Amino acid sequence: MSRPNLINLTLDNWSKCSTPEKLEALQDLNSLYNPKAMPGCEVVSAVFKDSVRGRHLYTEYGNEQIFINQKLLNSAEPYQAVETFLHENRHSYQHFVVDHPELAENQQQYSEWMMASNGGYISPEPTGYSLYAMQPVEIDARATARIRTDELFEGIFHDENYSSYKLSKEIENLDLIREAQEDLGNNYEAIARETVRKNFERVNQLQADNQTQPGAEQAHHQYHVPIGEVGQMQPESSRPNIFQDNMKDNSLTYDEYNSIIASEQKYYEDLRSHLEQMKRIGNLSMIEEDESEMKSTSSKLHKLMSERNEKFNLTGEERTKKINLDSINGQTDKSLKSQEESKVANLEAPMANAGTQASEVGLDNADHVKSEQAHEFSETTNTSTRGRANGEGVVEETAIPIAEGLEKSPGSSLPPFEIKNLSSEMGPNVTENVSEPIVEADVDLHMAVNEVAQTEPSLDAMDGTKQSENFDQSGDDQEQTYQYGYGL
Amino acid sequence: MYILDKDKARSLLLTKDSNPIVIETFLDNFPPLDDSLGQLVDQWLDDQQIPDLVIDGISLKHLMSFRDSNFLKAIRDLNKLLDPSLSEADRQQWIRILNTPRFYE
Repeated sequence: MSRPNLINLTLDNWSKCSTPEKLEALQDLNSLYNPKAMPGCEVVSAVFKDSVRGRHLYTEYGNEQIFINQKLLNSAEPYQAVETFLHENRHSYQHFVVDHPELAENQQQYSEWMMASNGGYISPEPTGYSLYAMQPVEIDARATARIRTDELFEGIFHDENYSSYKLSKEIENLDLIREAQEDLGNNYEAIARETVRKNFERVNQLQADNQTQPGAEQAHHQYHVPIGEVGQMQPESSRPNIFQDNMKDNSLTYDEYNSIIASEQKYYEDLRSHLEQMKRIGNLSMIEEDESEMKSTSSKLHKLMSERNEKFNLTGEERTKKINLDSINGQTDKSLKSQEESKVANLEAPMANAGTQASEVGLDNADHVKSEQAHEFSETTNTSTRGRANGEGVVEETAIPIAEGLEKSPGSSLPPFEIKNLSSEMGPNVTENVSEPIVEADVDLHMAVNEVAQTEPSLDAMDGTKQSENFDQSGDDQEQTYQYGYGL
Repeated sequence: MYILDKDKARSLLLTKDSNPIVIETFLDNFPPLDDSLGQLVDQWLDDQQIPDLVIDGISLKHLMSFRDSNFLKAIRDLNKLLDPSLSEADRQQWIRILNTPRFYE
């Protein structure tokens, strides 16, 4: 795989590169670490408050963007920009794993990432920085970015100037731990994890309360399988196959979706309780069976929620515009997958990839639409983990074949590619006299519009971006709405 | 030692539209404070006025602004500096931490 721009991340080349060249170099890093099946993630410079290094967000259409603080890109050293990018890239991967449970290293990791992705994520608050910093997805993203940044600058670039930066990061991490111990005690990780779980349950409860749909409770009784004290869960084949039965035709109402989802959530919770019982008595075969069934149920739930969220907005009104269903209709999953692979192939040839991203938005919708409603998943865990950086099947080509790219000098002419310098709503525009083709996107950055975000204090003052109070953007094709993401 | 009236604090924090789960965790882990801070906290619970408090050169108001902290978080951070069991090395480390900005990713 050719990554001709990676060499621009070296200390010597970085300061000679323009912002678009730096972003393209980061984009190469993207393809280095992500699984091939993972869709590309656009890297964008943004004007943030100094304390906000970066963000990972999904648009309303499900395509992802990673924002890097322009000041980090302007820095004479590439280190923090790269580490921030790798941090946000890991968040992207976390979401990808939630959509692809088979990639999870273990059930616990999947549970933690699923809960964070579905309403449990703790945004930074004036009382809760340590909770934010020590929640599982943030610990994992920091650890992963730390290791990979070291790998790049020590192991590959052999950068002798890197050591002072590395030391500062180690101090920063130790300070985070010291403060967390002060704030939450020595069990800070467990407390943060438990808080994510409670937050996740709270969000789901809020949604359930808001829905007030009698059908949901009925569905519980209809589909829920009672579980004996230490008995076996009823296999799926003997349960009403509500998923397939209801998905045969694609005309479910909003309430029907919610009823089915509630039922599946209950089933998942029952499975979890049963799993705990099996663990207590050491029934290994049942543990395996339960875990497998939980994964399967999770996957179904996510599909259901994605489909519901594609069809309906938060208030249950049918979406009539914006999602380019024409590009999806009539295509089998297989053909979609084939197109995704084709897209990845394009990413592997960065020069040939120019200008293709916009046309791929419709495709991304098929699997990656996230919406304000996507909190709704019921899953809990009480066990402990610390994120690992190099999960099996996750990092590809860790022996980085960049030799072919090392000959490329910085500043060489590049074809046009999509770089957006966020302006207007995001604060004062960073003016750069660059001759490179920059697509000036008048992007209104609406942040994390979900019910939780609406009830939590605005972080506008912290990052200089604008939050939208308008949940339903479906009437305005000109606006991009950022549904959710990590980072804030 | 001064013990925070957590019910009163909870009611007050909840009016700020904060996440109730985060508030609960924060209050669960809120330590007893040095007696000298008790009156300031009681006053804040009544009127939410931020007093001019400086400990070891660190101002309460600056801390709240610089580190995006609310009053109770900032005052417990300063309270740490009043801990007589804190070693000088730990004190200096804590002062350095309080003078370090937070980052969000």
